[in-house]
Amino acid sequence: MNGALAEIRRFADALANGVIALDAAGRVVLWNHWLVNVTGIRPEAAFGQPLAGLFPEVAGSRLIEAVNFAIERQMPSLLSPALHGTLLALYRNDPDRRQGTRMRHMIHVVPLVSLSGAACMLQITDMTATITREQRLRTQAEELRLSNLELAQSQQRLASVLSAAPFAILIVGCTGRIELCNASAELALGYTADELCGQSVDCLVPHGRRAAHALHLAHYLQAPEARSMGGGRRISALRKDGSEFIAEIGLTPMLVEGEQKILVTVVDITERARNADELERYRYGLEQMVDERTLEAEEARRIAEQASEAKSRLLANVSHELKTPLHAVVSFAHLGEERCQGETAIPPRIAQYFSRISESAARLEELIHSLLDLSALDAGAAIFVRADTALTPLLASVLAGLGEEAGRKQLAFDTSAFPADIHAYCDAERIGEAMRRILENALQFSPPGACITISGQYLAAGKEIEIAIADEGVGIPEAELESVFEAFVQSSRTRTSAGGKGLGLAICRHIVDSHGGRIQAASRDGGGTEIRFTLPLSAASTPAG
Amino acid sequence: MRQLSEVQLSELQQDALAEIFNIGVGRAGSSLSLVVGSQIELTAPAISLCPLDRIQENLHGLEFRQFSMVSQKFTGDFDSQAILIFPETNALEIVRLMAGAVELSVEELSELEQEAMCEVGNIILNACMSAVADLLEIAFSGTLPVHRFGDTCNTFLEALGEESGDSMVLFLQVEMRISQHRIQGHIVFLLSVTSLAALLQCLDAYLVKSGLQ
Repeated sequence: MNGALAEIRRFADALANGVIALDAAGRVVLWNHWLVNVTGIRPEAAFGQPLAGLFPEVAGSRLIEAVNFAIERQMPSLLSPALHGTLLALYRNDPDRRQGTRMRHMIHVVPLVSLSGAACMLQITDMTATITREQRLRTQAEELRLSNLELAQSQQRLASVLSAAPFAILIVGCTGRIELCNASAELALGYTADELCGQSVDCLVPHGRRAAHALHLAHYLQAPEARSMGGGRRISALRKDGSEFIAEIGLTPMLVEGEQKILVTVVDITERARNADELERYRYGLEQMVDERTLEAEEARRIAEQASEAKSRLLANVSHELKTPLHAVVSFAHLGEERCQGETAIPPRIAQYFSRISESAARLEELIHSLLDLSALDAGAAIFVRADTALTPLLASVLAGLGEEAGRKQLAFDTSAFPADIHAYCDAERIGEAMRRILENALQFSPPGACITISGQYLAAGKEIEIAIADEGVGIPEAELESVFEAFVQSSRTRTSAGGKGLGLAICRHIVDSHGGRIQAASRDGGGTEIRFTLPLSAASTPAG
Repeated sequence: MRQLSEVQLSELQQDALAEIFNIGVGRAGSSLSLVVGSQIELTAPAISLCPLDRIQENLHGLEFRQFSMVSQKFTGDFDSQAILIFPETNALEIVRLMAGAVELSVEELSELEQEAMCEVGNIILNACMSAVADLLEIAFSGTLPVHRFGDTCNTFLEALGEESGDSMVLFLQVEMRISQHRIQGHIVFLLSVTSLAALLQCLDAYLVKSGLQ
């Protein structure tokens, strides 16, 4: 054995790897101490043996091929535990090879050139530690990858939420520095995200408000709560270009890694504020207008009332003043008539004169009575005593009062269509008067031999009765159906011929209106007039059939 | 020497090189079969020569993004850096398929993926270079294989190390068939201009000797 090889053996024994040197014939010339430990084969036993002699399992394997390759062609090879599992039967700390698992190892096959008879060297490395380490590293790497992925995802989520928000969002630290902002913030404030982040929020506060804002911020940080800034007052924010806008600013405290931060949302409400102002102006204008109109209307009403009152007063006065002399006329006419009776000395003509005076005075009295009535109704001075009233006897008594005149004109009343036992809640005297006046009109304007029909029917609602009085007279032109109910208005057809005062229907309307009913006139087919009025039914009165 | 970067292989040279490398990868195939214990077939259907600065275009043209590559330096009658390149997904696939015969879990396998790729590359590259050496009757000695990950640009610059300049690239397409799978990769031989000239000289001498030229 030459000295150089001996030197190399000593060196190889110190290594923590296995080292085998083979000569050109593939026989072992070097077998280091590490191999003794893992194979139990002493160097003396190994020397001169071919590799397959020491490890029968490698005969014909890739390892032998690699060794031949190195010896014959000087090509190095690497044999990995990944592809071969275990190459040689090596047992860590178990040289007897009796038990335990085989050691996984890697073999480098390196050609040697002219080294004291050695042609090839095998370097055997225990991979156990490497595999364990790599395993650990891979696990860690995988964990890291996953957590990075998670982080990236959550950041992505946050970022997309932030950027998708339609209003500006800033995250402000407790020193008042802006730490984060979204795309809407860039747009609304005119800064880029890079410009905003790191700046103090002061840059967004109008100059005059900065000192106060600093105080508010300090105060807020002492007791942070979710609220909107400004306590209901309108506040402005400053854009980069110096312009201001009315902003609604929401503050939400949040703890990030133990540090107090404020999530600030900024919504530009300039437009909203403008709309609100406009609305407020409109509302104010409208109120004023309504006030003015109300005043005007009240004034007009007052004037109208005054006029109406004056008219009523005048009517009352005039009527009263007329009544006094009329009484004298009536009285003296009566006296004159009485004196003429039985007095053959007085020519009958004189008695006739007195009679004419008496008749005219009676008409005049009637007129004045109506005027007084109307003015009392107009002034609201008339008192209605409403009670449950049976209408059938009421109508009968009214008709009885008119029987004489009807007989004179040969007129007939037809009450067959008037329901029996009907009760209305009304002032019997007044309603009787209204019926009388309507019937008087009918009598007055009916030709001799005509029939006046009085009918009644329940209205669908069941709470009213409609009484209709129809005559066969001249009728009322369509255009005057409504105006006949005004005082001193007569139908153009009756004004000239039959005479009349034009007060009757006006009074009727007052009476019916006062009962909450309606009165109207209609022309009948084939001539004649029909006056219909409604009255509320008494609770006791039930529609018959 | 600049004009050498315009060098084109003659048809004969190209055929001869393709044949030599086919023998090489064929041997590699049988070596790999030995490792795995099942049939692995390797072929080198195409060969081309291009300047180094064009290789990236070639590789990019294949739309690879991440590469797994094994390189070895060979010195001898001419010097060359041989590099086996697989798209990273293909590399993993190879290792998984090859380790199918070994009693290793997939997890363990991926732990040793680098070594495994090293060995696969080592076998293929050694086989190719030894085929060249055998047929051209020249000798090489090689370094142990080194494995790298990366995209083409970075990996190539790293692989080049201090070597740069007017290198030429012998570009070899390889196809590996394991079980039903067909995996494509590339072998790249990085040759200095001088080395390329020496290779071609050896090739011509071989052709003359074989009576082909």
